[in-house]
Amino acid sequence: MRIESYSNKDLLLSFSPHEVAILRQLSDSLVALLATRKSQKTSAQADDMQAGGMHPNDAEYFSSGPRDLPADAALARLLPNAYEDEEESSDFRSITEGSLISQKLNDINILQEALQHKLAPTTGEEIFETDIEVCINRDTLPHWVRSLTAIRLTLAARLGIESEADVTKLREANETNENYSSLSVSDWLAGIIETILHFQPHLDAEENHA
Amino acid sequence: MQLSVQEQTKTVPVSLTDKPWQTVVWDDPVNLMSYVTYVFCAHFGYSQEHSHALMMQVHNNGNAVVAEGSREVMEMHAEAMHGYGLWATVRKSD
Repeated sequence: MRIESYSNKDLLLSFSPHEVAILRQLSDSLVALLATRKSQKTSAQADDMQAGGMHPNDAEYFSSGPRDLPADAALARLLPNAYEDEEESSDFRSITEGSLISQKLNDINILQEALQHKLAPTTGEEIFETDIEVCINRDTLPHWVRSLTAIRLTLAARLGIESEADVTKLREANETNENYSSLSVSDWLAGIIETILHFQPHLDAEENHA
Repeated sequence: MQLSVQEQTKTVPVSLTDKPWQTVVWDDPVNLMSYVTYVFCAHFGYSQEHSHALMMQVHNNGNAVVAEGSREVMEMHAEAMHGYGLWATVRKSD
């Protein structure tokens, strides 16, 4: 990642083809992961419908999502319980989880749209060999930092990171360890977030002066 | 000198009975300190100093009460925190 330029309106970052490929792969995985949770909801409700318990026109059909904490560690971290009490947590989740997932998908979508390569005029296909310049401004910034954070949380869950000690242990691991490379990717993403946030107050400068 | 909204509201004394619910943010080993501070600034409109102090409280104590008020509003804040990838819960204040 390179900083191309910055002003009080936007920060231009450029990513190499290799970096773009990593970001696209990670964001695709995140979309797929969130989609599994969405489809769980649909199939459970389809069962309800078949059993004659619910009709698609019922308001509850649309508002009532899953009640349990996802079994998958990464999903559980992205969609955590909002109460210590399980019943209260489930009630809250059944109403809010759907929109939380939609918000996350929208965040990632903005990142994915920005990571499209230019199309070749002759074939109409993406030219994968070129760098991509990404514009971070006040509107796109929240989507970027939230998406990159969601990816980091997913990587951490896959690495079984639950404490600072877990991170230290991974850092001390052999560099050939597969987990070590995941941690390196996570650190790289952290660097992008730090860079964006470093410029964030300056992107707000215009508003402050207004 | 013009005070910001947060500075004005901070000076208003409010009894606990007026704020029976809390949004609590919990520490995690993944989220960056700069990011957590940013979230408090961006979502709550807290000053950089106040947001940084809250972040340090989360980091050092394991959690921090980031907002107090009605249950509905605290739930809205918790959902927003989850949107940012922070781990937040809602509870009744003691």
